[in-house]
Amino acid sequence: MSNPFDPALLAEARALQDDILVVNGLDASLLNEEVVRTLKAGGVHMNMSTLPDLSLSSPFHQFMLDHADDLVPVTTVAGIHAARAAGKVAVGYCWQWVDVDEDLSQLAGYHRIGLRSSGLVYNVGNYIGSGCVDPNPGPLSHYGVQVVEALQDLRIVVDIGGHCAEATSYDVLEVAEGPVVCSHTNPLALRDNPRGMTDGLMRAIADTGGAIGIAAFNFFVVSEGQATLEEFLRQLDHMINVAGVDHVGIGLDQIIGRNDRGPVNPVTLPPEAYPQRYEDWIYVEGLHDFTGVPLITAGLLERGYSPEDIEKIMGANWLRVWEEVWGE
Amino acid sequence: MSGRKERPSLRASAGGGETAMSRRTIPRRDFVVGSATAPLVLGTLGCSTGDDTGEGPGASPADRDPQALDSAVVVGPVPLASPIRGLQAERMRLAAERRAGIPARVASWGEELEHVRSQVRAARDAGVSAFMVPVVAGEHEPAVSENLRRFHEAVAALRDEVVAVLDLDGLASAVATGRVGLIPWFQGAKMVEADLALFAAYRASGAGIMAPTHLWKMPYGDGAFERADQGLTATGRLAIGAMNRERIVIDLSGMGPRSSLDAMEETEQPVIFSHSNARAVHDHPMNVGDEHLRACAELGGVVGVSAFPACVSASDSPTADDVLRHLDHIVDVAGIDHVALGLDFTDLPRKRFPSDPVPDPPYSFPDGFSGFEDLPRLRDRLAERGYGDGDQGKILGGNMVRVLRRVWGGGAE
Repeated sequence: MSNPFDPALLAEARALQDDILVVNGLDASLLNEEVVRTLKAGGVHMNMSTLPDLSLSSPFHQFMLDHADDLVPVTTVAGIHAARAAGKVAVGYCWQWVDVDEDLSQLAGYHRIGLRSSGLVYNVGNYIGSGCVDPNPGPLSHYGVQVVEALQDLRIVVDIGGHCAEATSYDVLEVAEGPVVCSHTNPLALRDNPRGMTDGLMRAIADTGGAIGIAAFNFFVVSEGQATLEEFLRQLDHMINVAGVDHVGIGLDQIIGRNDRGPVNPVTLPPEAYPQRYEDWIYVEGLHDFTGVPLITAGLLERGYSPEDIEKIMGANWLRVWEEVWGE
Repeated sequence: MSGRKERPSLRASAGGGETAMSRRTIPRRDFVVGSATAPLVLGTLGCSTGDDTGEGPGASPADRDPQALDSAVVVGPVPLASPIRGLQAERMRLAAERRAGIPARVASWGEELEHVRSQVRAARDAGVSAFMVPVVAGEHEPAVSENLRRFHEAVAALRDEVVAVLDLDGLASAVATGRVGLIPWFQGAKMVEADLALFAAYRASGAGIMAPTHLWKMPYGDGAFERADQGLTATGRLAIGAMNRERIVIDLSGMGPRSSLDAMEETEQPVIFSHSNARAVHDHPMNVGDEHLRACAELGGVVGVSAFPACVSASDSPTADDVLRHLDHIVDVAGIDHVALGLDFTDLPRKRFPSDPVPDPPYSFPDGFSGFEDLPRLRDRLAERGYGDGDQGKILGGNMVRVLRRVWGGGAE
C-alpha cells in the first residue's frame, strides 16, 4: 500500500470527496480569505465555524455578503445540500460556550442570526459547569441545566466540545434528550491531555445517537514535537473502534490565518493542556489548513475503509445528527 | 420629614444632649465627581482626595485622626434603591412581582433617590457611620458600569449627606463630617472572570469589597445554593491572589462551604463573611459552620450577623433573641474580635431557581432587627447579654474597621 502523501492516492481521495459531502464539524479560524481559499482547495463542502462574537454588528455578516460567490450561510441540512448543488461552500455558525451573560432570553436572537450549535464550558469552569482543567470538576449548575434545556428548546445542537469536564459532560447527557455531540476532541487513551476524551464518554455520546469530531491540534495528538499524519490516523481509528463508524467525524479546530495573536491567556488556555504560545500554535503534519483534508480521506482509503464508511466519517454523520436536531 | 422622633444614637460618644451626628457644613471639595459619561471602570469617581481641609495632599483624614475610626459604626450590606442595588436585582424583583401577580412598576430616578435619602437618614439617625451598599448583585458588564454610574450619581446628588467610601480616607471623611459612608459592595466578579488584570480597574472605581461568587456557580467557585460544591477552581485561586494584591476585601458570604474554605486557605489577608450566621444555630446554606468561623478568625477576619429571616431560624417570624443567639455562638467559636453586624435588611427577592431555599419577599424581619431605626436599642440588648462597652464597640464597627485597615492599607495602623 502507498502512503497518504502518494500523489495517486491523493488524487483518488480528492475524487472521492467530489462524490460525497465533506463536512468539518468545528473550525476555530473565524472567517477570513485563507479559510475560503483552503476550504475550496481542500474539497470541504460545509464548515461549522466558531463565531464567538456572533451578533448583528458582527463583521462576519459583511464578510459572508462579500464572499457570496463562494460561501452560503446555512441553518438547515437542506441548505447544505443546496449550497453543494450551487457549487458553494456552506458555513454554519456555532459557539464554544454559551455567551449570553446568564440571560437565556438572548438565545432566541442568536438562533435567528444563525446559531445552530453550541459548546457549554471552555476549559475552565464558568456559570454552566466545570471545564476540563478544573481541579475538582462537578455537574452542571442550576443555570447550566437551564442552558441545556434552552438550547434544546431552540433545536440548537448541544456540544460538550471536549472543553467540558467529564463530570459535567456526563451530566449534560443526563439532562439532554436526543443526540449530543462533542465537536472536537481526541482519545485520552492515546494521548493523556486534559482536553482528551475517555472511551467511556465516547461510547455514551454514541449511545445518544450523536457524533464525536477529531481535532488536528498537534498537542492533542502528541506531547512534544511534530505529530505525524500516521499518529493522527491512529487516533481516528481508535475513535471509530470505540464509538462506531456512525458516530465519528472530523472537527479539525484549526485557527487558519490568525495564529499570530500574541501570548494566550494562561488562565483559560493553561499550559498543561496547551503547551505552546499562539505564534507556535501548530497542527498535525499537513493539517494546518483545509488543503490537508484529502490527506485524511487518503489515509482512510489506505487503511481499507470502504467509500460508504468514508462518506459517513467525512461528513454524513454530522449531517445525520444535525438533521435530527435541527429538524430540517 | 416633620414629626420624626428623636432617637438615641448607637454611638457611645453621643453625650451631653448633642449627638455625634450634628452635621457640619463643609466645603464640597472632598470628593471629585467626574463626567457621567466617563468610562467608569477606568475612572476614580467619588474618590476622596484627602486634602479637603487644605492641609496638603500628605495629610489624609485617616492619618490626621487615627483614633476617630475606632468609634465608627460600620455595618454590613443594606440594599438601597434599585439604581444602587443593581439592574440584575431589579430584574429579579420584577420577576418576583410577576410570580406574586403584582403589577410591576419601575420607580423613577427621583423616587429612587428619595428612597436612598430616607435610608441614609435612618442610618445617620441611628448613629451609623458607614454601611455596605450592593452596587453589583450578580450583574455582568455593561450593567456593572451602569450600576457604578448610578451609585456615583446618587452619591453626588446626596453629597450633603453621604460619602462614597472607597478607601480608609473616605471612611475617615464620613466619620469626621457626620455624613453617612456608603461602601460599594460587589457580589460576584462576573465583569472580571479570567481577565484578572481588570481587578485593578474595578478597584480604582470603587470595588473595595468583593464576593468572588454570588449564591450560584461562577468561574471562581460554587455558590451556597448550587447543586454541588466543587471548591475553588484554578481560576478562583488566581483570582483570590489578584484580589489580595489589589487590596480588595474578600467577602465569602454566599459561597459554597468547600469553595469558601478553599478561599480561606488561598488568601493571605483577612476575609469577611459580610452577612452569614452560624449553621450550628440554624442550618441554612447561607450560614457557615464552626470550621469556617475558626478559619475566618485565624485570618483576622469578621463574620457579620444577619437578620435575614431565612438565615436566623426555621420560624417564619424569628425574634431578636434568635439573631443574638447567632452572635453569641460566633463569639464563642470565633471570638469577640471576629464578629460584626451583617444585618442584610433587604426587601429584594433572592430566589433565582425553584430549588433556592429562600421565600419571596416580603420578609418578616425580627422585631428589633427590622431596619436602621432598631439599631440604637441594640447596645442595651448587647449589655443585657454581658457585652461591655469595649465589646460593643468591636461588634458595632471596630472589628470591621480593623479588617478594612488591614486590607485597604493607608491611614494609620
